[in-house]
Formats: sequence, structure tokens, C-alpha cells
Amino acid sequence: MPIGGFVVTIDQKAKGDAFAGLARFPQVEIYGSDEKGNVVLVIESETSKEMEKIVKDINRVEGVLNCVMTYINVEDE
Amino acid sequence: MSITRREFLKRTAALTAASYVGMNLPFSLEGESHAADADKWVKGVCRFCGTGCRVELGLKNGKAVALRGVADSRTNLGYVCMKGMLFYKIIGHPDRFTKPLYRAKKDQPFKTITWDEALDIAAKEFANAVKTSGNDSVAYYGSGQALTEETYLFQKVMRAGLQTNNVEGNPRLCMASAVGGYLTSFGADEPIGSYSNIEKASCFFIIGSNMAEAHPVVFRRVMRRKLDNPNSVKVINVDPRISPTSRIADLHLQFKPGTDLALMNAMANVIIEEKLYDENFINNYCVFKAVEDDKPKGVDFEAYKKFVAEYTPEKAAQLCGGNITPENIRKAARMFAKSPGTMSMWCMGINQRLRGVWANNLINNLHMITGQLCKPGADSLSLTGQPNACGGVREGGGLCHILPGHRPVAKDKLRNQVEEIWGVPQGRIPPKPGLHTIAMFSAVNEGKIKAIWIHCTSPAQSLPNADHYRKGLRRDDVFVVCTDIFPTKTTELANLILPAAFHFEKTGVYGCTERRSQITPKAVNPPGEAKPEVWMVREWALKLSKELNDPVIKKSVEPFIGLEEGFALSKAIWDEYTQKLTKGRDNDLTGATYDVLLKMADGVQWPAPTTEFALKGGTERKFVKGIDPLADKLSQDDKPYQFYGPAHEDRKLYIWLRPYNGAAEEPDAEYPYYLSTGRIIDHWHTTSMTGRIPEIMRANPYSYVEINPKDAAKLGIKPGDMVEVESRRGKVVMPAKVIEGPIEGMVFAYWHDMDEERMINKVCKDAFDPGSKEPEFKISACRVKRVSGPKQLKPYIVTM
Repeated sequence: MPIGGFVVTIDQKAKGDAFAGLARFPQVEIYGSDEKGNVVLVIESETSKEMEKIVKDINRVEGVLNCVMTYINVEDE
Repeated sequence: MSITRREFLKRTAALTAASYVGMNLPFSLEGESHAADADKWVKGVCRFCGTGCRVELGLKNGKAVALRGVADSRTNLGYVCMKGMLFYKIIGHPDRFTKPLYRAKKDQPFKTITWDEALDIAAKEFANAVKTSGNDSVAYYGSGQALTEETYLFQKVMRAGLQTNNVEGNPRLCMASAVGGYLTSFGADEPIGSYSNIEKASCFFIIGSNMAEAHPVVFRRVMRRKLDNPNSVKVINVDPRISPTSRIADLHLQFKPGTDLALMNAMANVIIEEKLYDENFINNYCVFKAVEDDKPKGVDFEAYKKFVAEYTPEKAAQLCGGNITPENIRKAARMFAKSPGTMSMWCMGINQRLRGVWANNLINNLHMITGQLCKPGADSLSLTGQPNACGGVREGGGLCHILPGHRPVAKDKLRNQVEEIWGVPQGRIPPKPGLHTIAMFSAVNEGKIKAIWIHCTSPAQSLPNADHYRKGLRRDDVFVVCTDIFPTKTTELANLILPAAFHFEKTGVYGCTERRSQITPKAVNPPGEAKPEVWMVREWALKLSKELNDPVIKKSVEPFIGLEEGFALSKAIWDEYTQKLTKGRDNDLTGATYDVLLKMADGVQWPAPTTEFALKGGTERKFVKGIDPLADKLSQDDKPYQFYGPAHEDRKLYIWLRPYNGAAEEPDAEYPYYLSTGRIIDHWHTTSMTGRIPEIMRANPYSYVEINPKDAAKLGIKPGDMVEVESRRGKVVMPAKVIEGPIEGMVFAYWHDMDEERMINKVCKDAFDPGSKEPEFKISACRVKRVSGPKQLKPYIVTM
């Protein structure tokens, strides 16, 4: 089960939509956010296949401008 | 209180991400007793795209288990895209080639052979070709993904050993026009500035680039700059297609493909008419050039002014179509010229054109007339597609007309310098440039090239008009060697496949977009009998020397005989290249030794003539005294900028008078649509690697064609319908995506798919820029029709 750390950038004008959209992913845990629109989140998925799909879907969430990864651990995959 | 192992890893992931954006989280991992997530971290460079993201591969018991960005790297500031994060999956992939494979005829099955047999066969075939058909009957076709050490050694053996300049590489297909643009505008290849300008720029002019998908980590920096300064920073996105990049644009200019030449001349016209130009910069550093009887001719400012005056905003708007209005052109010109620092960024939309060099010149012109160069936040920055197109191929001598260290092969003095450094007889390297890519594969078609070594690339899929060029590769009298890690459309046509070591399985250097060289040392062993290519070339050259009874071939690899292949061999090659071939050149990497590169978080930007300077990171901005040591050393006056580029002896920047010309193939009654192609965020080029990462393949299993809703309505096409895209060269059938992306009258197809039914490069035109010889992938004419409703498709990857 891979674990990935991500920084998502959201459009502050659509902040509500963005957070609501992110909250719909059960594999996503939000760890923090700031006034610049940075959201730190962790994805824990069954496979990195699933993680890829989640990242793709996050990029489609209303108000999300960009989703980049900073860390991945796949030691038990 | 102790936490679980999973929680420990999640917190590690969260803290890593938070640290990159300066966010404090309400916990730390101090005092936790869990074993570290990896027992060794090895710094290297991402293998995909030209950004040059610095990453660390985490190893546990010798196995790759984790990957993270390097936070203090000046290229990516710690961020990596998902595609980059998953490349570790290629290490140890079951589809990897692990033994040499051979067949005498291309309709036979491959059989496993030993390395000794394989290299014997390769040496005999190349030697026979030379004996029977001459030195120019052999060729090397390399890659912007090959390590610099590999490209350097291949071209050395080809030129000094086999005495041919038939040395080419796939960067001809992606950035040759940027090279032509930089050389003709600034007298020196590669960008003046760096990514660090992004955080200082006040205006971004993004043209012919979907950065958000093709270079997502660079895009993040631009996006961050815009979001942090929403009013003072402006983004102009210029593209016939609305893409994810357009989301941050203040102004999106959408135009008919190819008409951007008129648009940029019109912007120059506005800048001059409204007196927004920088007279001091022009007077101090620039001259104007026109072309008369195919020769450059000096002209004056008035001639330039008169030339661009023909491109009134009204006329340009009419030519450009789309959403371009005279007022939009004026607005873009004012934003560009008035900003304290304007940064242009472009990619294949500009380069892959019949007039790619001109398009590059016109971007550079805007920077020169406004003085938007050499100062903080101002730069004309061509984004590179591959991780080592700049470092290995442009700098290391990987194209038919250039020797290492930016030396044109046709220049006697520079060619003789190289011969002397290599210790081979004068006259050994032929003075005539070899065949450029399209000419090379045309020669393969004609049977003039009898033996070709294709390294780390798949021209059978990536060449335009691909079916035409695959005919030659299928010939049984053309011997094809491929060095690769996975089966491709090209290995399907090979006689000999040599299994190569992958990234982190060997040591070497990549040079990214911003003149930055970064090392990736060997961290894990390659699978089976796979070997580093530098080992293959050395051993092949020794056998060739015997076959041709030519000691000079042996001489070309003599300094490297007997060296251990995982590190020492690459180091010796890098040392020879940097210490002897770049010394005193504009891409001086003398200070960037392996020792220095291994110490750096993010490598070294050339020029870096000393280790002391290299250890500071090298030159952030070329030509500026006090920043670039060569600008100080080669200074000829008291001006702050010294344009010492090797191609302009007068040390001037050239503002070119370049007219708008159409594409090689414009739509007509028979083929009424523009066809353009590009890359999708998930996949890398021909999918030979990313197609084998299941999560990526599942997300984007096959190519599709984007169609504007108005065109779709006219053609009766609904989302998901199967659509035939046909040109004068071939046709494909792929699903339709109906989207407000391409401008009306244009369709856009993704080119990564290996499936014969969907391989769009069969349809693209192979016309090429007369200067750069780069093909016009971005524009051709096609017709489009609905074939059926949605159909279940199967993803396809070549396997053995």
C-alpha cells in the first residue's frame, strides 16, 4: 500500500469547492493548508495504480490548479 | 505515544510535503522508534522531460522502495510530477531486455546470444558496410535521453573511428529550431537565464507550450508566482489550443496554427509605434539583419520598423483568426514591453515547424527590442522536452553538424582542435556534416545506409510520416542495432538488440533546459546481463578496430580500456569531455567534475570554468559581468553585458526581419482541417516505458483526438465516437474527445500510442525547417470523419 505526500494548489476563489471535492476521496487525508492556496495531503491507496487515478481525479476537482508529489513510499507494494 | 508504521510513513510523507511550502504541522517524528523509511538515499535526476527535477531514490536492502524530491534543488524545489515519481517501477520490470538478441533476417525470430557474439556481429556488420560501401554507409541515431557520456563516446567512435559524421539524435525532432534560434539571434546556443527568473518575472509569455501537462513542475513555479502576485504578474498564453496551461492566463490568444509569426511581428510593430522599445539596449547590443539572395544582410532600425509596420494589429488579427483582435495584440505587446521583467517560455508548438527557427527568432526579437534580457526576471527560455537533449546532444556533439563543445564540424580550426585533443591524425574527422535525421532515414530507405545503431529511442514510431521511414528499416540489407531496455516499434525491426542498463543502474550526467548538468550515480545493479552503453561502445570499438585493421579506432577508446563499467568508465569519459573538450568553450564545464557534481544538491550551470565557481552552482545568467565569469574574462568594453557567443564574431545580438509564411501543408478542400499533435501528462513519448507502468497505462490507455464542439457538430461526432483522421500519408482511427480545446478547424491528437490503428505519426507530414531540419509535426492538413459509435479498445504495448 503506497503512501504519497502531495502539495495541491487551489484557487482561493473556489476554496470551498476545492476542499469539498478533496473531502470526497476516502484515501486522501488533508494535513494542512495555508492562505496561499497550498494544501498538504497524504494519499494512502491499495496500489500505486489507484494512487495515479486519484491524482488524476484530484486534478479535475473544481478549484484545484495543480497537484504535485514530494514523496512516495512503496516498501510493501 | 508510539504510532504505527503506517502512521509513521504517512507523517513522513506529510512533513516532507509541508516542508516544501514552509507549512508547520502540529507534530514531528522526533523520538519515534520506527526504522527509517529507507536505509540509503541516492540523489539523481528524474528520467522524464527536460526540467531536470532532482530526486532521491530510497533503497532498503538494496531494493528501491521510496522516492522523494530534493527540497534544496534549484530546478524543482523538491516537487516531482506523478510520472517522474513512478519511474522506479521500470527498474526490475519483467519486460526488460536482459540478454542480447539476434536474428540475421527480420522475418526470423530472435535468438539469445552472448555478449561476445553480439559485439562480434555488430563489429562485422559495420566493418563490412564500411569496406563495401564506404564510411558514410554507417550511422548512429541517438537520443536526448542518453547520458552525456554515452553520446560523447558514440560520436567519438563514429567520427574519429569510423570517419563519418552520420551522428544524429532525436533532439533533431524536438529542439533543433531552438538551437537555430539561439545561434542566429544571440550567437550562442541555450538560454541566457535560468528557472530562477520565474520568481522575479512580472510577465510570462507562454507560447506553443502546454507547460501544465508537459512540464508540470516548472508550471507550478509559474502558477505560484502568478497566484502570489495576482495583480502585478501577468500571464499571456498564446496557443491555438486551450489547455490546462490557459487556466492561469490573464490573456489567452488563440489563433490559426502557424500564424503566430504574424502575431509576433504585429506585437513588435505596436512596441515600436508606441515607443515601448529599449533604445539603449538596442543601440548598445543589437544589430538588424535581413536576408537577401539567401544571405544575411545588415539593415538599420528604420528598415526593421518599416518591415514590421506591414503587420498592423488589424492585418495580423485577420490573418490569425481565432479570438485575436487588434486590441488583444496591443494589450499583449504592452504587457510584454512594460513589465519590469518578461519571461518567454515555449516548446514544441514553436520548434516543430517549417519556420521553427524564424518563430524562435521572433520571440527573441521581442526580448531584444524591449531589453527584456540579462536582467532579473527577463529571459527567452526554450523548454526542452528530453532530460539530456541540451547536455548530451547539443553540448556533447550528438548532431551531424556539431562536435563536442559547440564546435561546428565544418570549421577547420575547431575540427582540428578536436582531432588534436583526441590524438588522432589531422583529417581523420570528415569536414562535411553528416546526414540530418530525415535525410538519414531517407538514406536508410534508399539502402545507402547499410548499418545503423539506434540508441535509446524509437524512430519507427517517433518520425513523422512513420510508415514511409519504416520501409527502410524493414530492409534486409540494412543492419539495425538497437540498444534499449524494452521492446519498441523499432526493436521490432532490429537485427540485434542489446540490453541496456537503466537510470540508477549506471552512472552519468544529464544537462537540462537551464544549462545545468546533474549526475545520477549507479545505485542498483541492472537486471540479467544488461550493461551500460559506454561499456558496449568501448568493447565494440575494440572489435571494430580489429575487423577494419585500423588502430585509430582503438585509439578512440584507449583512455577507457579496462575501467570498471558502473562508475569509473563514465567518470573517465566525463573527465575527457569536460576537461579537454569544453575547456575554453562557452559551455565550459571544467569545474563540474564528478566530485563536484556529487556534492551538489542540484548540479552545475555552465559556464563553470573552475571547481570553486562550480561549487557555487555555476552561471545563473550568461553574458552578465559579475555573474558569468566568461563575461568578465572576455570583456571588451565597460558595458555590463558581453555577448561573447561563438557564432557572432561581432559580439552583437541579431534582430531578424522574418516574414509570416504559412505551413508546408495548409488545409484545403480535400483535407480541410489542421492536424496538430502533442504529449499527454501521463505518458512519456512513445510509451515504451510509461506504457509498462500499469497505473499510468490505465489512466490513459490509448490516444484520442480532440475536436472543437463546433466541428464535432458539423461532422456529427459525439464524445467517444470512433473517428478517422486521414492525411495524404496515412490514416488512424481513434476515439473523439469533444472539447473547447483546439480552435475551430483544428484537431489535436496525442502521439504516444503504439497501436498501428492509432499511431498518429503515420499521418503527420515530414516537411522540415530548412535551417534547423526539424520536422513540422505541429501542422499538417487532414480530413476527419465519424466511423462508428464508442468502441471498447485494448491498450497496446510491443512485447517480445
